[in-house]
Amino acid sequence: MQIKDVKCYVLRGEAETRSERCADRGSMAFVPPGISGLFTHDQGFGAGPPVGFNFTGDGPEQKYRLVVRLVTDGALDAYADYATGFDARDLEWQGKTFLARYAHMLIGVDAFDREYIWQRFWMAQRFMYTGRGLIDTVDRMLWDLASRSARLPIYKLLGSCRERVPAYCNVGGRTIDDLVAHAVTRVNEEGFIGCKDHSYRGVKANGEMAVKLREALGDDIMLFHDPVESYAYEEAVKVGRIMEQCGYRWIEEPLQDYDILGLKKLCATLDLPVLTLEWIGAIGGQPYNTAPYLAMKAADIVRQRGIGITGQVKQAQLAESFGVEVHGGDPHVILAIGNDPVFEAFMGLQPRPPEEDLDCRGTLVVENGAMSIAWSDRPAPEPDWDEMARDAITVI
Amino acid sequence: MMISGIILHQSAGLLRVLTDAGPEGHCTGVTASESDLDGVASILMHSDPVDRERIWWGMNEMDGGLPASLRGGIDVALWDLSAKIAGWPLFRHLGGFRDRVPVCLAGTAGSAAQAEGAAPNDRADQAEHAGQAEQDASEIVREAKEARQAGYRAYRFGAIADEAALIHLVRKVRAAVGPEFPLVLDGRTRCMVDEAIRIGRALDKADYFYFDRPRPRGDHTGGKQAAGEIDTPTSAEVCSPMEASQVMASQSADHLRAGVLSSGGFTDVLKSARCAEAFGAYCHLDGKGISDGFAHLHLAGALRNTPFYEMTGQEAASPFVRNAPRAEDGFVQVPDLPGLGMEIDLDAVSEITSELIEI
Repeated sequence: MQIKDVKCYVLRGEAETRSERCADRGSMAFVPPGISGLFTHDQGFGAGPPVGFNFTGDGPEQKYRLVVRLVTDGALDAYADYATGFDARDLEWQGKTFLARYAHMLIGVDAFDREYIWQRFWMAQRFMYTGRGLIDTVDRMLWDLASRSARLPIYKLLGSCRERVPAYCNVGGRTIDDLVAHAVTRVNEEGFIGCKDHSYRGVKANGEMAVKLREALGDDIMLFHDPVESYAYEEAVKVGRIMEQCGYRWIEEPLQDYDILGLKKLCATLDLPVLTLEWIGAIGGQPYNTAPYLAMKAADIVRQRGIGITGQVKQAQLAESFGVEVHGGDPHVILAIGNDPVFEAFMGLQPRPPEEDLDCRGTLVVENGAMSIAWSDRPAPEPDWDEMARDAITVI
Repeated sequence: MMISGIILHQSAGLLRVLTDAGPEGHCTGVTASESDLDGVASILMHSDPVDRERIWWGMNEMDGGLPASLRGGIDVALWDLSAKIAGWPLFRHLGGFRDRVPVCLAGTAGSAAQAEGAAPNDRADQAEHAGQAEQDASEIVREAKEARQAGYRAYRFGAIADEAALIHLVRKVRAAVGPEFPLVLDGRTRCMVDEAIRIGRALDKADYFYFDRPRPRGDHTGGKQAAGEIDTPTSAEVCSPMEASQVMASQSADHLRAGVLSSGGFTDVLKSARCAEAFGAYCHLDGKGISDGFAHLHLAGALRNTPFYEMTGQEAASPFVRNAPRAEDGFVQVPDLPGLGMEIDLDAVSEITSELIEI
């Protein structure tokens, strides 16, 4: 199935009131007790809203969306929402940019030659400074097309490994007591098998938090600590020892990803597994940047940040070759690999939809302490492109 | 869809994985006993055939393991079946990289003498071997020239026993094919470390593409020394993704070499190749291997870091396979049919089936 053309549609979206508020975003403050001089996000220790500029629009304004469509010579096309904004003209030019810069690298290529396209766009990332978003979007469009064409969800195309993966939730609070209460509620009432904090309170307070969480939840609940790069090396060792006593499953991003030698030393020092590589992955570089960390033993568990489905599979298989677990990423990839033990349900509970709403793409389900994908072999609903062209502000 | 049966046409070597919905997965070149097949039945039977990864882990974790040919055969057949169910060629099921793969001629000249030859560092036998070495060398030079003329995109030949003669041959082959044509010397895992470095220097000067397997599988210290000193990249053979990661992490070779038959699975080779890719390394595939070359060909069609598909030009295809891979103008076309794209004449299979093992 060959890609014959690329089209962009600027469409009317939902109206929305604009808002940009310092109060919503939080601020950067010293990690307690302040000796390390490292800054962290103040919402991670329950600070009140910072004083700053807050803007809210007068009322709902028309929003627009840009849809990119890869037209094939087959029965189905690949497509995805590419951008949204309040200015239709601006989106029109984003569509023109996509066409001018990237369409020629897609037209004439087989829509199932994902590796060719991924590798080509991987290097375009460097030469055209595209960022990771472009490859991610294009690769997912092509996997989605494959899924609709074969009438199988992506995890089945990848070669399913399991149908369910245990799920944990994220917890937080203004105070440690709030956080513990939140954890107890979510674990007990929503059925998660464990919980993860995002607490940037420093060694002393986070150590106390660990003891209280373990006491409140009992021994069978999994605990994860995510300080998001807020420790100096020696602080990470100290807090790590406390978490070991409390039976934590891992410590996530204790140091900055850039500190590869510090991470290597920390992995060797602590029995508690060290999970890392979320941030370097977020700014690009994964799957490949994982290789030296694994070779140097600077990561006990690897954060899944491979670009696109294709990149995530590469990263998971690389880690597997070192006998190392990965964590996070696309649920389809998680179900298709054997080395990702738990699912981070940051989206909360997702009840199983009624049978008649299911199709071959599959729908994420999070319930009874596990993640799964519900699907049927029914074809996915396809957009009516003629209607879309009629409704569009512009077709490029 | 469920796996409803497994049939092995013994001596014909055809393994068939059957489903309740009709499609079948195939692999050729498989031998196994009835008890081997019985052992794996509980993992395969009534499973969804597209749940390859779960089946792969299940077969890996079996007590006592499975013969590599059977595990590899089942894994290939399941990939074949998955791609057939989806309705496209296997390399596009993986995510296609190219539909034509450049071919490296894996030379066979002089190999008779090499097979019986002593270790190449065995100087006591040198005089005795000198005459044979000279004859091998001239055959190899002729083959190299012919490879280039026939349009092959690279040429690989095996080390001969006499080191001095080999170093001379390395230069002569380069002179025969001219500059830029990719050349590969296969060390056949038989070079001592110091010798590998001396031979490697000759490869550096003659601009060889890589030095294949100078050291035996698993020699990380010797391999690292050779790889570190020689400019020409070296390769190491690996039989599992774990071995791949150890070679890459210890830098005991610059490239990997893997095959479905030696690794015991298509999935295994894929994972080894992905590991190499993340380290910026090539992963070469062992010639035809299992399934009459189809499995390696589809892998080469889906991997960026496999530069060539290797052929001897003398491959004997299973007599019932109608469309075994053939090189034309130095390229081989990856079949465009669903799955492996292997066209099998089942009547011809029956004729040469001595025993039918069925589950």
